[in-house]
Amino acid sequence: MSDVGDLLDAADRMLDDPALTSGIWLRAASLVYRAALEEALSDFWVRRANGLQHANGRAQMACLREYAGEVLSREVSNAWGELSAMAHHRTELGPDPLAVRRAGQAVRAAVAGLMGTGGRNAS
Amino acid sequence: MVARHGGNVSDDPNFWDCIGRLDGSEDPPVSALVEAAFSTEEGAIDRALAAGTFAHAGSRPASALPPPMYLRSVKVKGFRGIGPEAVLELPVGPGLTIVTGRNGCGKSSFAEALELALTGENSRWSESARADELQGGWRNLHDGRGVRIDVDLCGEVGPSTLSLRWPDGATQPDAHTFSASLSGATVRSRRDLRWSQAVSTYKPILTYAGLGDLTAKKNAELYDQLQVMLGLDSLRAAVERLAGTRRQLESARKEADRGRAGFLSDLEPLADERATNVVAAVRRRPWDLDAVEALCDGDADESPEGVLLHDLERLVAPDAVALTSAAHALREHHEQWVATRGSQSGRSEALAQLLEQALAWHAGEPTPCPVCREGTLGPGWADTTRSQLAAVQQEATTARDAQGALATAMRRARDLLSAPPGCVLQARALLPDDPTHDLWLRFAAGRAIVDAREMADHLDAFAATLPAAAARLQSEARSLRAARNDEWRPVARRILAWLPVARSAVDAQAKVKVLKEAEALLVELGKQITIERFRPIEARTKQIWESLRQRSHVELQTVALEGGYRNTKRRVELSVRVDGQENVALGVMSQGELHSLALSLFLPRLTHDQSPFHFVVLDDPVQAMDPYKVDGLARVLEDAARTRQVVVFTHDSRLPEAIRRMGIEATVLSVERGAGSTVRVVPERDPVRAYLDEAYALSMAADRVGPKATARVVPGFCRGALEAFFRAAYRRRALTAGTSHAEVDARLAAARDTNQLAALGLFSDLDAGADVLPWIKKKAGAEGVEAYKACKAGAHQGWDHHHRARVRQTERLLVAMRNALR
Repeated sequence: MSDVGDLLDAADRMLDDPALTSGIWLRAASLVYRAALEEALSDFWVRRANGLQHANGRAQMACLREYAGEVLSREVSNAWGELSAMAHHRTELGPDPLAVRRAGQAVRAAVAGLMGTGGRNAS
Repeated sequence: MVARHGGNVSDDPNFWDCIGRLDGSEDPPVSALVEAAFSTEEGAIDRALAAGTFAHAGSRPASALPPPMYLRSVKVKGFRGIGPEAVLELPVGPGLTIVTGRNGCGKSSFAEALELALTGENSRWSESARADELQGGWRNLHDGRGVRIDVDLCGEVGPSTLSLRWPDGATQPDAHTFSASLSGATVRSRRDLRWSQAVSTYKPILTYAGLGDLTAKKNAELYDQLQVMLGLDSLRAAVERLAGTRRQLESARKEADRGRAGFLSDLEPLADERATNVVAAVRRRPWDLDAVEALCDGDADESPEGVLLHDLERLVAPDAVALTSAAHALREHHEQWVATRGSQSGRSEALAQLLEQALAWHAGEPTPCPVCREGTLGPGWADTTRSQLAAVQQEATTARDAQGALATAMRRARDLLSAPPGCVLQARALLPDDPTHDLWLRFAAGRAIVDAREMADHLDAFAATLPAAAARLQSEARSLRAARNDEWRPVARRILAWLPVARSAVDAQAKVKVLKEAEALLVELGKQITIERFRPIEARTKQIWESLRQRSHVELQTVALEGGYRNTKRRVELSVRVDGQENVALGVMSQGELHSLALSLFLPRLTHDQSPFHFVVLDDPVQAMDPYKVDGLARVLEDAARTRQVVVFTHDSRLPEAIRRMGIEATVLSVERGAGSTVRVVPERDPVRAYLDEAYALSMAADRVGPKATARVVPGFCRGALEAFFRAAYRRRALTAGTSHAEVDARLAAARDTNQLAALGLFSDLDAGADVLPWIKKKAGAEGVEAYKACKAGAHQGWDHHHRARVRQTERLLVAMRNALR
């Protein structure tokens, strides 16, 4: 699982590294989780609807429902939206470390879902 | 040195302030109570009441205040949110330090550790409704072994450390051992440290727990809180102790009054002099309880009426039999006497004399009769005359005897006619219809009778009436007395049972009087001390309020503590002017304003000239403050920081933001919490700088997080630097132009992406996104446009290479934009 797994592991390590605890590093971790999710989604499109991986994020989220079903598509778009918000500099303080950790777990679940439905049509 | 009943008063500055104000004109028992009221020792007041004196340690501790000091660092391990040892190092000397960090990052643990080390208690634990929960959570969950706190101090006090250590088995937060090292000298207890006066008077830590609740409370509670803040709580506690003792004593009095009311209503219907006397004894003040006891104790009825009835019961009436037999005897002797008088008895004596002389004349010889001169007095005559003489003499004796017997019988009869006894005479008042008195008087009047037959008739007549009347009177008296006692005895028993209560109430009465005087005196002394301590604070409060109030319409006129300690009249008199109109502060102020007001009230004490604590710690003063107040607070803190080491803990980014924006010099420290309660304190940089620094560092050491993550994170940091720049630029410009904080926050929140943030930052216009790239091209050239686009795209797609060059490009764009906006 190549890139996606590397990115997820890297983000986990960042959260556990006591040297990387400042607010901007929490943003960085959420960025890396989001990158992992985007990579997994890109792989999904290559298998299921090649070309869609080049569309922008919001367009991809909109199409996902058709290909991955309601439940999984909501899981993916929730995690993606939450991580996008965390990654931007919206407040002086960084995101809540616990929230980033929870979002990371949600990404792992969504990634597993995307890889599981990769081979067949969602009904 | 500490006297026997002294308790711990000798450490209490309020005690010494009060003692110093006593001028000796007070009653010794009253001033003794004022002194004893400060003792926390059980029964100190009771002993002072009993003895009328109070012994305490001789003199005020000489070195009341420790030398001035600053905070150097707080080291914590295993306590609250902090696991492995974490250190908060502070810049020493006057200046402002902001310690930020989100909720739960461990920043409050530092504040609590400091408070605990300095004061021995924690306001959040002792005041919070969740005290139990917090008490349980004092030990860190991840690393609760070897729990310790060290607070390093410096300044004139010399290099010093306050240390708390917990044994591993400890379950309670107060199970620690305290030690201190003062310039190398070791002190083993807080008591020996002798800082308690300074801490209670100038406690340099103000927590949100001590501040936030205030505004929601009633005015009287605000008053109480201010008293605590002014270090006057021990005074209040002293007054409460006196009042508590007084109330106890007064309740004894009330109990006695209730008992008294109970038996008074029972006594009222009793026609009994004892009842009347008891009522009189408990109507006068003070109650004559000895008299009450004498009246109620035992069965003896010493009242005149009781005595009278008692005497009547034992009345000895004339005996009917004795009267009739005396009458009979009288009549008999009278008859006998009459019989002797009817014979010659009256002349028997004279005849006997004549016959004796004739016999002497005869002298044994026949002699012619000298009387008739015809006969002869011969021997035959003499014999006859001798026997006649004997008969005559006998007759005379009998008559004499009968007369004597009659006189004796009369005398006896008179003796029977006794005068009526005193009780019978008195009974007429009690029983006016009874005939005994009248009968008896008439009976006794018979003593004047001289005729024996009349006397006998008198005796017979009264023998038939008087004894029977007397017997009736006797039985009347007996039943009256029984009735009296049947009503009286149960009441008397109740009164006897009431007596001990009454005696203690009478005893209490005197004590209550002294206690009231002592209370009034102490309240008065407290008022003086309060006013004295509050005076310098009032002026500062108004100054601080002026800074904090910013756009508030509320102008603070006067602040004063009014009223006593415990009564409902106590209040904080806050008069304000709202748009020129006088008003009552608590009524017109918003929550945020009240909050600022509370801070205005408490900050002056923390920065008091005489305080040895040249540091001031504020734990989360920003909560619930509106943004204008945050700007005002920043100014107030800047001002305080000119002479004090001001340390502010806040979970809120607004204060550091305001400080940066307003150009206030401050050290901003960020508390960050990692896995396993690992807590670090790092200096917080300007966020633009922080992003760039981390981006540079990562671009040169990609293996820190792996190449793929680096390819995402470096552009993410560069984008973050741009976003932070745009936000700060918009905020500064908009606030300077007079836009409200609320609107600035709302616009920033509305920006959905980097380009909208850029439009805000560059043009203050969310919808001017299309103008961003042309502006950048104009101000920063094609390279700037490239950098801007790379930051936006890279955060999504990642950068493949040239990370460092891209970061440099971003920094050049930032410099160009900053110059263009200046």
